[in-house]
Amino acid sequence: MPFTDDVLDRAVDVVGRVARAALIPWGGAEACVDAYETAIRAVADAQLSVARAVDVEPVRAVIASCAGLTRDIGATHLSGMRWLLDV
Amino acid sequence: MSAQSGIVSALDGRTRLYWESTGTGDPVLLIHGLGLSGGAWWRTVAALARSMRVITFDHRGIGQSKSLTYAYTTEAMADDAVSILDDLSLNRVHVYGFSLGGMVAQQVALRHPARVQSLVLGATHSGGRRAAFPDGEVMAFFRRRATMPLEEAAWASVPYNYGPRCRTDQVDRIADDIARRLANPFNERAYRAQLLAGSLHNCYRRLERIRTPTMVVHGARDRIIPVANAHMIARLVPGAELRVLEGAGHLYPTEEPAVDEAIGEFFAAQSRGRSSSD
Repeated sequence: MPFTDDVLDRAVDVVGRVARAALIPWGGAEACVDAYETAIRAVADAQLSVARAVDVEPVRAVIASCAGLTRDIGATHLSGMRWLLDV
Repeated sequence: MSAQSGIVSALDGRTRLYWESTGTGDPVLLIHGLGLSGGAWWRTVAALARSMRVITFDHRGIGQSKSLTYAYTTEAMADDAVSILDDLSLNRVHVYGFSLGGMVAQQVALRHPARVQSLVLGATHSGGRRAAFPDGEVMAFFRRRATMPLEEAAWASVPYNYGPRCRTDQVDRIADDIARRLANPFNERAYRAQLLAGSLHNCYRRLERIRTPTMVVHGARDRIIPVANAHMIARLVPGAELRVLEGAGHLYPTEEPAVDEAIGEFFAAQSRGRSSSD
């Protein structure tokens, strides 16, 4: 959804600029967001691998559901971060 | 035309994805848009299946597919699409995503680049702050639509889905579309979940990482996803080919049947290019 309110738009810009500046020591906003995405995928993939290896229901289903939750919560974070940081 | 169907079961024990495969030849995966089942591709399947193996599927929560939860993202939907390729033992396919399906197709190309031979992004946007969003009237309609009776919603969508020329000259084609849509059950919760997934979608800065040959197709009179998005995507994806259909609205496959032939030719050219380079 677009921010139609100019004030809110400007506020998001300022917060984004501050956050981008704060992330410079860690390689910049884009590198940090990419690293977070890589980490989320690694965790979700690891959970899926464990689910595949476990032969006991409902343990397998619970671990696989956790993998989906990790991916989707991470994706939501990433979408918001990319919006805010414009990366 | 030979047709097969099947169901992929996810490890979570609840998510099930229904797929159909029609025709033989190079495989193409079609990813459809908001609230529609894979059956919504009927015109395109008929055109592409003359020379290709065409795979369609129902997104989680839609049609014959089921979902563990009604909260998901375009990333999840992209992984679903790839799980169908895994089930069919298809390593690399052409991918054609339309509208919300185009957002999912972007995620497939970014998350699973080795699986995508070429990409067609139809009537879609990149997400993020710089995407061009529809006007307030269109957004208000889509929020209202979920609570309308099914048939009323389908007909009320016509001014938003189709261009003005189609609404006067191709009423029978619009009626065919709506009859097909009404034949499939509509899941309001899944529709809302897909709206959320589309709102969260954000690939804007990453489109430049797509290395797959890409074609961008869009109706110039699209009110749901303004055509400015197609220009933006074509500028961001390296080497992307842009095809703007003058006078067409959002559901351009109904208005411009010839575009399916052009898309088929694009896929064939990419297949030829790959086999000559192998």
